[in-house]
Amino acid sequence: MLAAALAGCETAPVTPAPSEPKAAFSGDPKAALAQAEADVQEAKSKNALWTTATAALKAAQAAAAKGEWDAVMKNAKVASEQARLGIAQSKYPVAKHF
Amino acid sequence: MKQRVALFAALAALVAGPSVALATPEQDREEFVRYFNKKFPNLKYEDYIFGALALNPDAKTQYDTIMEFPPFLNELDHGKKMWETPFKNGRTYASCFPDGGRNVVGNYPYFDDKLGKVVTFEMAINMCREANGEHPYKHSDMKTMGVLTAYARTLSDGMKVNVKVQGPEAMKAYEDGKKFFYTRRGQLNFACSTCHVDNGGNTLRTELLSPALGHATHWPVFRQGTNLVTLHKRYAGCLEQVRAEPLPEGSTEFNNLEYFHTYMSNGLEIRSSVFRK
Repeated sequence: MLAAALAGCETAPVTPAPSEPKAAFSGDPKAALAQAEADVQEAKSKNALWTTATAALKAAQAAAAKGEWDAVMKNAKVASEQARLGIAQSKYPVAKHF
Repeated sequence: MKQRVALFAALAALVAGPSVALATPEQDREEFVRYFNKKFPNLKYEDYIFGALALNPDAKTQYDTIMEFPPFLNELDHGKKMWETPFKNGRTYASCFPDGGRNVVGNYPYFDDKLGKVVTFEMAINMCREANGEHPYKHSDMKTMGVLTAYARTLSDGMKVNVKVQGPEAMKAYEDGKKFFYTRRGQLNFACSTCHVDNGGNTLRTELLSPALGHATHWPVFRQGTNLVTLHKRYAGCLEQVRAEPLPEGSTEFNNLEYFHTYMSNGLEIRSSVFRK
């Protein structure tokens, strides 16, 4: 028990090297990231992009560079959702009230 | 029966749609003025050029005091020097505008039929530069375009805004700007009108929201004394505040927005380069 504990102390924390996706979230993180990039680009082309979508995409891209695939999946989904909401919003009736 | 009702509703919408879109700019402006007159019955029309300050006597008193000796005089002096410094060919900015650039800003933006687009005062400055062999300034560069127009616009102080919308192409640009103004954007789902029409005069967090009437008369402003902010920079800032990605300053969308937005202030005096909190 003690030996095991000491052995644990000897092991320095290691930042995991980028590896192939093994995400807790269902789906392929690389595909989700590609989809998020496409969704954000589409929202941008329609002048309907939200800053929250941009921020989530950046977070997803940064996580991908570190191989943090759960974070990629999570942020890519947010980016796609927020980009699509922006596009849907651009089709709302105008707010004019008089 | 249901199909007939749906068909009738669709036809009614078709009839109603164009009638809204075909409101003339002057009808839009008159409605705008009526709305704000009803909302602020004690506010004098000419005081709308002061924005939110017109609704807050204490803040207006502070503004008046600050404007007696504005903290941004150095910037205006620098802009004046830029305005008066000849180009390499010996000509000056004044040579590009009627009356040496005095009392011209109230006519901007205008729709240029030959170019097929809205021309803002900043674009006219760049056209002047290019016609005289100089490179254009970036609209977002406050050290060049910002400072230069901060001075140049003061040459039109007192002139009344007199924007014209004539012809179908001009009308289209105006309508684009109008649509932008009333379109909800960003995660907060706000349109320009949400804050500056519906809630003009209300307090959002600690800030009193300015009425859109008179908005376009006093740019650029110096926020906190020396932070130069042009109208397009403010548009970009507003978009960011509602969590929408800002568009580039000088973009067609912002130019058309400025066209509509300025038309709404027709008849009010230009009072450029002023202090704002």
